[in-house]
Amino acid sequence: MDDITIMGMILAREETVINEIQIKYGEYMKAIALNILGDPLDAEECLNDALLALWNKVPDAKPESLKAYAAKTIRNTAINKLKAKNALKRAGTDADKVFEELENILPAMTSAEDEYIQNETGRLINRFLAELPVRDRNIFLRRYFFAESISLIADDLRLREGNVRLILSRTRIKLKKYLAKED
Amino acid sequence: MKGERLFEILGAVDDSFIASAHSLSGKDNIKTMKKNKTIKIVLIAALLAVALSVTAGAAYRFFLPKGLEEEMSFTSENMLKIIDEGKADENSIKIENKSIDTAGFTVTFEAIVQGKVLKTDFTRNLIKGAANKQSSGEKNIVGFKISTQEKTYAVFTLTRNAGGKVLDNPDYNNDVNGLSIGYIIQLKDYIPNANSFIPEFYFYEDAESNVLYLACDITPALPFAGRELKIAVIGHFVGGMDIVDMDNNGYMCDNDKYSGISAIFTLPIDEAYADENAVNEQMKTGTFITREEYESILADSETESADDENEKYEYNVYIYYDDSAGSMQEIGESIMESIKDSHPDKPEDSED
Repeated sequence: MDDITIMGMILAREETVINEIQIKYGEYMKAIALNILGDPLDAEECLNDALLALWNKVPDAKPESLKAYAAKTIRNTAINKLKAKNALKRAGTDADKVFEELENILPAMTSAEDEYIQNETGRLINRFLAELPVRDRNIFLRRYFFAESISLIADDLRLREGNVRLILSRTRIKLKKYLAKED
Repeated sequence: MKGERLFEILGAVDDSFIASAHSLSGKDNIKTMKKNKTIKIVLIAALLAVALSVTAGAAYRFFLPKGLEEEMSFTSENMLKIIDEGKADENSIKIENKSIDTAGFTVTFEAIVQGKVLKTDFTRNLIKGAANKQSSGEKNIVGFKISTQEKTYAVFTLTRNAGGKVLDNPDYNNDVNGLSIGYIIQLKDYIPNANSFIPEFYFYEDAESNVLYLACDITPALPFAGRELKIAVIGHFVGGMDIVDMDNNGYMCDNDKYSGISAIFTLPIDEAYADENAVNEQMKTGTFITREEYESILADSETESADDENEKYEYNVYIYYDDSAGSMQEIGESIMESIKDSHPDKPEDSED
């Protein structure tokens, strides 16, 4: 079923659309959750929460890309679940390594300006990503948005793992310099 | 905590970037094409001369093979002719006939040769083969890239010091299939699995003389002229990681722990070929990095053994061209028509 039809069903509040979303994007969403949470049961639970969130939020959000919106929704749901479990560094997944890799990129933030700086940083990151070569951007997002493992990325793109690490490392250095310059 | 914070912030990435980043495993996964092996071309036409004015500063001499038939093939006779003419030419680059003894073999850097290498017959055979695959339902044809790029080759000879065949000698135990020959070109500041070229190479062993001729494509290295370049002929092509090492000055050097063939030469390329734009483009990829970047990566302590090998999906079709076969334009058109006829999903791009 195409996304336009799915969106139409959501807006029309046809409950069977949940099943359609699950058929089309269920595995995709669950994989994102699993990367972050590390536990299949948690990922399944997260998927259920995310599907409900889509049902509730899509009518107002009216996203242009349902796929991207679904990815963001499950991602946020998984992050919140981790926080709730107070286990951000103990998930035992690639997410731990992802957090470590991202550790030294952000410039210092003050708590008073947190939300503003967070929004502004997001805007700057989008500008930064737009300037990257497509391959490097995709690799960066697959690692730091989807939290995919380096081996999966390498295998999918027919690159060696070391090459993927190198690309990620260079992109992180560029991002750090970019954010520092714009700070 | 900043890592987690940035991870959250990345949730605000533009939807279009997310949608196109390729999804994870699952029903919505964008399937990548099945890997196809790059065709290893083991026959090479003798190189045609490209007429160039040879000046005292020129690094290369171009050789015109005389009396060659249309069905050209890579033979020792052709290569010997090229090598001898090069040595006799006072304007050609002087390699100084450097020979290195290594692991019971003698490797000699004979010459650098350059020219356009074309063979229409080989191409037609390849297309025919592709058509057969297409009709049988095989889906691993991704198209052809027709290349008439001028190529530059470093030519080496290898002989076994004790006599006998160079290749496929069961006593040489470096590879289960016998001796495996390869080469790598590396810049100064050899970074593990980076800053190196591993393009095509071709070899031919003369059954009578037991001399193996190795022609290494050094075309990708030309823009780096003026920088420190080394070329190593190696016995077991495993990415070069364990075969060569880096000295304190950043130069590629022998690895004492490796006991196979390893012959490292300086690669003398005329600075006239230097191309900073091309170099800068290469440096943007993950294949080449500066020492500064590498040390930043080390400080970041994220990088382990980086590997520079990018595998190709496309077939490089080398068209062997002979004057009597028609003009380049005619041949090119003929080939494209053959491709259209025999392979519906013809390549989108082709180069003259």
